[in-house]
Amino acid sequence: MNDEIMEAAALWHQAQAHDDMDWDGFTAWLEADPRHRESYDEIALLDERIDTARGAVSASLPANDDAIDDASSDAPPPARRPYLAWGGIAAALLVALTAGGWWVNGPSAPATNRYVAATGQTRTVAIADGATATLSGGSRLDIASGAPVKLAGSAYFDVRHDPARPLTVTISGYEVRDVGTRFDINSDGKTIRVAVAEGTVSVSAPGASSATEVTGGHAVIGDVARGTIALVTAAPASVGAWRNGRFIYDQVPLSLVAADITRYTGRPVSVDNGVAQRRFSGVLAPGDRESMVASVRQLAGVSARREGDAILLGGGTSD
Amino acid sequence: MRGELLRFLAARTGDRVEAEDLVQELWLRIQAADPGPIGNGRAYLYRVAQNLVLDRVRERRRRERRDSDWADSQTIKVAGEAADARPSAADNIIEREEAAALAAAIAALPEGAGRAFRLHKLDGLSHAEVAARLGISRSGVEKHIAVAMAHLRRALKD
Repeated sequence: MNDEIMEAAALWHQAQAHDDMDWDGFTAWLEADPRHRESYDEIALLDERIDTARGAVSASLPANDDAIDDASSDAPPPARRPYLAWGGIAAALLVALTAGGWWVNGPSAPATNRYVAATGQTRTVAIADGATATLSGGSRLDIASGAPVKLAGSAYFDVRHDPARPLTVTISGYEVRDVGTRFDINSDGKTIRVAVAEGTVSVSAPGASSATEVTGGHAVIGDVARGTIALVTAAPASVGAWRNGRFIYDQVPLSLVAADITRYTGRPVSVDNGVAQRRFSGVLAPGDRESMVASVRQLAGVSARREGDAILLGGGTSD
Repeated sequence: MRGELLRFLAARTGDRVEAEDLVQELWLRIQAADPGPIGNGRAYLYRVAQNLVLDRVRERRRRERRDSDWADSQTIKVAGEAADARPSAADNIIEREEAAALAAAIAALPEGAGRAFRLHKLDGLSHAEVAARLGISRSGVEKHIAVAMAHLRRALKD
């Protein structure tokens, strides 16, 4: 497969991160030559492969902080190329050697695999032993062997029952332990919510010695700053419904609804402190930020106004 | 819309029958969702379609790999172990080799392409942020990263 086609495939792959993606153009490009399709698969899988190993790869490469220095001299003069090529090989060898040394340290520095779901897309990750996590768009999951799974954003977990191997997920300082169930975790950094569709999980607040058991049809909401936990009901059908393109809320703090819209659309929606903890129940169809916010406004009866790049929910001047 | 998606999926998979099947799956997912107002619904449908295709490609590769791993392991190991017993030490070695191979390939990228690639893929900056940082256009950044991806693909080809 030649480089030119691979580069074109990589350009199409990147274009999808933007709203102005030309889907007709992409279709036409795929139709033009069967090799285009294969190249696209290769690029998409390579991209995932890089995301998966990202933590270990970054840790084994020298810092990339000199980027600004000679940004203007982007294309090096041709005469220097042979030298650069040798430098590149030497750097590669050096990296391989230091990487080897780093890993010898073993458990003290476990390689972390980072999984990121692109804006507006979900991504399913096999964690281990029959457990999977589906990340909502814009969410991130770090997996290191022997350590709890670390989540930022929101994800749906499906864990096969195995009491000998409980799965532990950390989110904003809270710990969620599970031995076989289906549940959903969401956090905006200030509030966390763990909703259980089936089975039982236990949730412990940061530094707490005891844990709260959460059974199917229930959820806990935690205030990260205060380290509290409150138990509420949650309709099992609403748990992880976003995986099928529908955001269903049953008594969910408004701040987490805003966080969902922010991650899904890639554009910021914030909530005034006064209404952040207000419980929201309703169904949002996925769409652009404006249409999703309009639905929230209608259903929750809160105001919405622009504040710089963001849309602020609540915060006075009700409509 | 259905025809448009079918055409896209046929082009994406190279297989009419699979495309029909995927459109069905896509439609079931959409219908399960409430109608309601869907802004930029077209892009949303294409993205869901892309996700479905990639899920299948990934699953197919995984199955192929598992089949060949299984064949390999049968020649070395004595039978009797549980089917899903995971040799985690071996997995760790594979992960290390994988990361070392990627790191070496990334370190050997051409300068401009390598810099843009690392800022975006490893440091997590958006295309626009990388563009501002390097003082080039967004499309310039995407071109650099595309060059980097093609290089990596060649370097990592088994």
